[in-house]
Amino acid sequence: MGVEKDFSFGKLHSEAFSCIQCGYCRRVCPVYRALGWESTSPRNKVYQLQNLLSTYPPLANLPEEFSQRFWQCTNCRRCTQVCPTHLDLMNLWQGVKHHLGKKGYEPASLRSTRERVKRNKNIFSLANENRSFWAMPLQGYPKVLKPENPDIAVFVGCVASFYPLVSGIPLALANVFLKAGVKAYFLGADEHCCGNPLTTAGDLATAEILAENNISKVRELGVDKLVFICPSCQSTWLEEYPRYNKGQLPFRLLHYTEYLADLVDQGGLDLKPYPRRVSYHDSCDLGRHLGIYEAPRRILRAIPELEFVELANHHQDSLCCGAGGNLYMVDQKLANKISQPRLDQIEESGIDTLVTACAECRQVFTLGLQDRKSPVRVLDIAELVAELIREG
Amino acid sequence: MSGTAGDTVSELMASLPPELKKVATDSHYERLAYTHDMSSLDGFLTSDWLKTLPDLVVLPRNVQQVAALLKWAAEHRVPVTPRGAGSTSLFQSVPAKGGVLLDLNCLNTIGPWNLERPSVQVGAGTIIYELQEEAKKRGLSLATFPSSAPVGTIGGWFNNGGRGYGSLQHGSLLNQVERLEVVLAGGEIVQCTHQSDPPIQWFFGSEGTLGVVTSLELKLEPKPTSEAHMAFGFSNIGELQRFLLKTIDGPFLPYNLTFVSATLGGQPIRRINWDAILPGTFLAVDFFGDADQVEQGVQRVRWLKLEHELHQLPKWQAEKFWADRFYNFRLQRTGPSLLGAETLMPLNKISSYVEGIGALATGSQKPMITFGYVTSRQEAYVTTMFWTDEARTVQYLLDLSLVNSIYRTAFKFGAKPLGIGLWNTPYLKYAYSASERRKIRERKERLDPSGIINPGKAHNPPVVLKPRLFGASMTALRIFRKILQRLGRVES
Ligand SMILES: Cc1cc2nc3c(=O)[nH]c(=O)nc-3n(C[C@H](O)[C@H](O)[C@H](O)COP(=O)(O)OP(=O)(O)OC[C@H]3O[C@@H](n4cnc5c(N)ncnc54)[C@H](O)[C@@H]3O)c2cc1C
Ligand code: SF4
Ligand code: SF4
Repeated sequence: MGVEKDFSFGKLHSEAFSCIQCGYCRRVCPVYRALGWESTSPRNKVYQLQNLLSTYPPLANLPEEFSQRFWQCTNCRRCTQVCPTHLDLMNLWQGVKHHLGKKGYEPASLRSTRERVKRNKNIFSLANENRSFWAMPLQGYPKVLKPENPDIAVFVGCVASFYPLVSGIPLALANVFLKAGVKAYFLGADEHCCGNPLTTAGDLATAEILAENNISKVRELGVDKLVFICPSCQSTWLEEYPRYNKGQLPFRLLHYTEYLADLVDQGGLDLKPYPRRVSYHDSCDLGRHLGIYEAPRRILRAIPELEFVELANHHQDSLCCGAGGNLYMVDQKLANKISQPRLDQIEESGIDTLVTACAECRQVFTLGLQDRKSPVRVLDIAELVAELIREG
Repeated sequence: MSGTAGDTVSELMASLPPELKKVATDSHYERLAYTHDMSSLDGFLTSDWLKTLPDLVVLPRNVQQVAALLKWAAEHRVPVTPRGAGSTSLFQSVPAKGGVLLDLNCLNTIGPWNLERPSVQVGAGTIIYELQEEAKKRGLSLATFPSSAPVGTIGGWFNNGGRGYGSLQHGSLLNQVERLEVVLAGGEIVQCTHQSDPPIQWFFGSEGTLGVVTSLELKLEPKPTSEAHMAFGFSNIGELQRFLLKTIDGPFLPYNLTFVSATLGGQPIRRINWDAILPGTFLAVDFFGDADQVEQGVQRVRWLKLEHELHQLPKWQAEKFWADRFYNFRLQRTGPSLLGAETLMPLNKISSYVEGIGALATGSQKPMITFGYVTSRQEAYVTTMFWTDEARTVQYLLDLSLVNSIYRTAFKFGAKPLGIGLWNTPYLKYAYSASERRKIRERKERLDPSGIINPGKAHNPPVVLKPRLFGASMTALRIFRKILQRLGRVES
């Protein structure tokens, strides 16, 4: 087995005891900021962990709140980013969840998601054969999704594949590729869940089975680029898959915005003007995790007459939409609460259009702004480009 | 950490007025979160003689709720410990006698602003860094801010004696506060000025023992349009002190001066982990202002540099060092744990103090690092730290005696402890003169006669921390440490 992450108590102990309890992580943690109780802060999670690791056996007799607090996390990485002692908190959270899961301290919603992923190979209660239903309006469906000698393979991800509100994203991207003459192979039913809901919950063993399928299916295509729609899937591939593959993957992992930005730079996309005031939301996974900040902006700047403005927090300081780390599944009310400061910033910025590059963010902001009866239009970059691209 | 029996806690919760019940909890897990601060001194060290576990935690959203709580607390004679971010390390904001932990973080409104006579009204729970960011958006700036700005609340910093970067030019936070809203024991809400009775200055540095600050009106400065950073390496601390004193001699003052001395037996300690790799003993000089002011400052320091034939470090190192101003605790990473002492040190004694620390470091075979920034023409905020391991109880206990030795070294040179809280109560007489101590006691008797607000701290320490007993235990630990060191049984 290639699953070799060190979640031993010794490792957790040495990491947890490197925390100086300075509290720098409190200011930036969206969960703490939304709830206000010290127990929800990353600092306190580490403190309680220190206590429970100091008992024998470690992590025995866990208070219910302990596991509750650990699952209330959007995986936004803000805590890791600001920690003065460079604690790898993401790894720590993952390690603790690994033990929590093993001991059965897991939210019911997450457990059923895990069961669904095992059964259906996706996070929904839907047959995996339906993964490409979003593509039905495409001319030439389904053949057009599987070109001979593809330039690239595309990994859509569960959310954009199945969730109606955001299934326009892969459709838009497929249209853009067709118009730009890119031979893009969409994996469809061969694509299994990337394993993100499992790996963030520390269940690496089940994730490995999914990963093996995905790696082999892409490898069979002989492409040198795998393009992602979902930044969380890409993060999971980047972070976890090399271990499953026992080495570097034989193809590059790219977000579709990087691919489109290169096309733009090479003059491969002819875009109509969009005379609106537009802003872009950096998602946690695409930004802080993958470090992709400029590609989406390069695309937007290439659109004639588009007035680009930054939101109050941007790049690495961007705010979380609230949906990451399975929180939308675990505690939707909290996720919605977390999204409020970002929704305020969007409304205060005076923009007409908010552009995202993550299906989950797109979904949260669409619903959140609808609730506020805001006139701001929310679009994924792929959708905006599809709307503006001229026939090649 | 010991606390009150479950029944009593629920009774206390039940007796809260309804508007407070909504913002209170008696959850044991939540209460545990407040039994400690940055110091690692909790658990076995405090469990038997302190009640660090609060009975209730209250998270008020407005001044009326704070007032209602203090009224209820007076009626029920329940201790109340105010707390901001808990980023202090002397148990200033950890309960010593249970009761209510008053978490003030939700009093975090910023505004209204007065842009003509630049000032702003802020809730006491506002994080200093966030206030500074909001000020910058309006072309303004805080005159001074602590190196803990990303965590500390403005109310906590004020109560902790608010010194920071920029204090050299602008004085302490006290100089920037124009009005203070305080809830007194019993629930009365008072608006204080520098002339009112009680005045603002009574509460400054009072460590949450006189009342609960709910909001402050702060004077602001125009945002500087220019900045420059310089840094110099020295072969010894005496040279550094001479240069430092020259730099502040005359009408012109830089915005900030920070010095670091990380040496053991004359060798620089390489593990200090600051990103800008710097020599063992160095001084950073920071200028902010308009272009002319900054240029003047830089020119003056350049002349001094020539006069003293100093080695100037590359610009990027000086800039990186300033960029890392909030990250002194990177030191921890070479840990596993840190112990140390913070004092206000006369500037002309820095060199003797650092040499004293050098001797202590050599004698105890512990690398120690001292750093500090200048807060006035007379004093610097000086921190000395060393590494230990809190998971190894005996070693850790023995290392605690070194903290006492650091303080004693500092006091020998006229330094004052920075903060009292619980752990520095044995050093009260070094912090305040006899007449200052009397005045502080009188204020406490007048404003909080029942001793409800943050009891068990400063002037009313637990027996274990009475100076005589404490001094004797520290001497015993020191001797024991020395013996074990000789036998090769303690690690450096
Ligand atoms: C990395 C680091 C660097 C630091 N650098 C500096 C520095 O440069 N300068 C400096 O002065 N300090 C410094 N400190 C110490 C401390 O962080 C600051 O003084 C800080 O601003 C305290 O704020 P807090 O909100 O954490 O206060 P807390 O620790 O929560 O409280 C401090 C004291 O104030 C009382 N208190 C808190 N809020 C209120 C209120 N609203 N009303 C009444 N009483 C209240 C508490 O009871 C306690 O006695 C540093 C600490 C760290 C961790
Ligand atoms: S920022 Fe890092 S060191 Fe500080 S409390 Fe949070 S986890 Fe601990
Ligand atoms: S990852 Fe984000 S939500 Fe999770 S603890 Fe860190 S800051 Fe909080």
